[in-house]
Amino acid sequence: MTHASWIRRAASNARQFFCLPQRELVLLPLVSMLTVVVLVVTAEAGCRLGWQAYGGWECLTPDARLGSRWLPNCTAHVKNPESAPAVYRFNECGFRSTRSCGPKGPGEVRLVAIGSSNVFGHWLDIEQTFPEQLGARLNRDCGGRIAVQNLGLPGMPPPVMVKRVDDAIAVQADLVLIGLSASDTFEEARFQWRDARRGLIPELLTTLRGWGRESRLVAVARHYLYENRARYIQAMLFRGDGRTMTRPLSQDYESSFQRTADAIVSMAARLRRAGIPLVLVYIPDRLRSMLYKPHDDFPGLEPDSLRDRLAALAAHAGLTFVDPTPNFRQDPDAPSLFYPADGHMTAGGQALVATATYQALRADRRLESLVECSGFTAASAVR
Amino acid sequence: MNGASGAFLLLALGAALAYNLWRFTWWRQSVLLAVNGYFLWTFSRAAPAALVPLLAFVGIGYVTALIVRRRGGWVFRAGLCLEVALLVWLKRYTFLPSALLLRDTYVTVGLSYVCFRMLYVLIEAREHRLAYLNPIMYLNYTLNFLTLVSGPIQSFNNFAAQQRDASTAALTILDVGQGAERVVRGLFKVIVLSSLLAGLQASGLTLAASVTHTGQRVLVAMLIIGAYPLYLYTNFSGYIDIALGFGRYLHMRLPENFDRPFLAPNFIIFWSRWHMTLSNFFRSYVFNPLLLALLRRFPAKQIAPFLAVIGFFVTFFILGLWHGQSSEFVVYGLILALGVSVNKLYQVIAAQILGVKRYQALAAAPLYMALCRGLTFTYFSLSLLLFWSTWGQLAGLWQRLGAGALTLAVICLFVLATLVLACAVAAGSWTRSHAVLLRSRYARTALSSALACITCLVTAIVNAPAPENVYKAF
Repeated sequence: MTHASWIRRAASNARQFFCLPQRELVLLPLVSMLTVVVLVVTAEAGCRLGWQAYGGWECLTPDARLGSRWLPNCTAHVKNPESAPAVYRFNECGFRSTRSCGPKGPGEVRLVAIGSSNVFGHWLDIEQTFPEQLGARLNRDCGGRIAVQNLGLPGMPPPVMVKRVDDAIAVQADLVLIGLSASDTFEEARFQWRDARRGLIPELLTTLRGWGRESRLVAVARHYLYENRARYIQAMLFRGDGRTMTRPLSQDYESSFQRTADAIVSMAARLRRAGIPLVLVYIPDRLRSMLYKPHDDFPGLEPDSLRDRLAALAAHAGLTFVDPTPNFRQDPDAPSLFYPADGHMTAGGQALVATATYQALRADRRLESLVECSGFTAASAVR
Repeated sequence: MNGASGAFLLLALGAALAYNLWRFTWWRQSVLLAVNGYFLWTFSRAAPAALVPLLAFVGIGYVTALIVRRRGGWVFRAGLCLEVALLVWLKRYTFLPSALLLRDTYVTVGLSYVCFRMLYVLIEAREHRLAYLNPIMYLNYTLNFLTLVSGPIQSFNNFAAQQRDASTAALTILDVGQGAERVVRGLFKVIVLSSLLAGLQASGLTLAASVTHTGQRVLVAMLIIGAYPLYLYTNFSGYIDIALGFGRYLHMRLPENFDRPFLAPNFIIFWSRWHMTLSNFFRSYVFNPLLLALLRRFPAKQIAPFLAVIGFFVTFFILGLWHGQSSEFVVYGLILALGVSVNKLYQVIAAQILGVKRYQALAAAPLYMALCRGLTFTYFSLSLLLFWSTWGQLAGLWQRLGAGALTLAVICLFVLATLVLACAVAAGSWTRSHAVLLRSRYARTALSSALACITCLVTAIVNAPAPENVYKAF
């Protein structure tokens, strides 16, 4: 068969195949696309009605030293699609606290919490946050002597936390808690990894991700999608979180971890000079909570590898280390202690961290003088 | 391989592409044979020996058909008995002594449907209507990957004629669109609707253990009894839609299996709209011959309508029995047989008492029809209790929910079904009056796009395999 006859035959076949009028060949795909658009817009509107989300950043203002900070005496009403409505209230220093940041009262023990969103208690009322729950527990033993000043700020990386130490010293802290989760140590590395993937598809994915972040429909879909363990783990691994779960830690993540380690050592040194003890609180995340139960579907992932590195670092720097992992392991449904799509801890997750911190403070002889109260018994530590 | 899984969709699309690459009959039959073989292989779990009984069964069917084609009469009857006996043996009916059964595990998927196709071949061989019979066509017919698991049951001549004509036919964009429309509708029914209904029924069963208030028990009982027929319909007809849709790409005009069965005004018509290819098979090859035999034996005109009642009873008893191997299905068959034969008896007696014209006028009255639809649905729902549960489960439900709540639930289900189905009929007539607009290519494209979108979203979110084909077990 010659080329010409082959082409003629192919053209004839194509004419036979596209037997519809040309107008329909254009209109039908358009109708299909329009339907999809209408469906998506309707679903988005429905999700916005049924899964309300509002507020969060109206009390935030740019800051030359920290990048951003909370406005003093500001109140914000917030809700994300997965959470209940909550209120953020800030005191005269712009700290999340029910107490004043002014001069300490007689006998007052001031506990300062530094960290990112999990320490701040994103999407939660103040009494649900772990520093406040810890303060309440200690106050049950100590008759209201403990006052918590929460200096948390969502998205605050460890190098910025170092700068927060000045605020802690200024506010006359007696004890500083630093809460760290994997995402705090990982964000920088993840951005580097993303930047390394230049090209049409990564760019397109970035654009789509931008739209996705704004879309309520996507948030709702992610909520249900991420209730599935396998899907959630796969999504997090695709994001690159698996690199924080190898033993030893992966090479490219190691440098990011080192920056975190340097920040912690620097904070510990400065606080030691000021005579303030530092407690390092490790905060598990949803991905790890899904891998605590024995599994063989994701080999090579070590949920405790980062915790062990942080514990070793704390021991090296002479810090008290809080490990809430056993509490999360014991929970029959630990992943439910985090919002599936948002990833932050719920009040239940915060309570487990507060319990672990309380037990660690009580067990540490170095902190006896700070939190020693007449009402304390061994039973209350276990509670 | 599940008929609504990604693997199956890829297999079917790959088969369609390869099949339409050339129009030579040998090419298309070879492609079908390869795909059918692969599909069957997926059920063997890489153990070829597991396929031997099924393939031997199919092979015996072919040899029997060849013999019957040359010598009918007693050979046909012997062949018929042999194939049915082999089906019963391979399906391990519980009344068979276990010493007689094969000990090894083997593939039984679609065994009944394979047998129905073999019987079609046998009957057409006896009637000398068997054209184009050759081993490849026969294998492609009996082991057709689209219809292997749950039908529809197509006659051999119909299948073979379509495949022969396929050599002159070319696929058009209309075929592609109409096939896709059907596949999307099927996937939506299976993945979205049947999953939802299965979940509803399962939650009803879970709740049954904890509810205490009478009102709650009635609601739970209604959910348990009423959700299953809808689940079964969406599941089974969904898988059939997928088969029919892909059939378009392979030049197979497979017969329809459902025709809005719940809108049927009585139980007899219901069964001519539900699993139609099976009902037609039984009507043609059980009911009609049986009725003829009875009419020959008892030729009096006055008793002829009552002979039909007996014919219905026997036919539907066998049809019910075909569904399963346990004692539940014996009773299921009896309930079906009673439903249809009592329905027929009522028609005969009512026509005698009222006169044919007055009875026809009554049967056409909207209120009467609505009540009959409700009754048909309720009776079918109750009969299905034996289809999906065991005696133990039924006893448990009876104990937990109580006779009073169950009775009340059946009455409420009847009222609800009557109202909902009346609304459905009204909506149907409105649709018919606006058919030009609603059945236009644009409206259908829009609907299919929306269904595809929803199905994709649900598939992504649920992240669970589509519900299994209920009829896979048969």
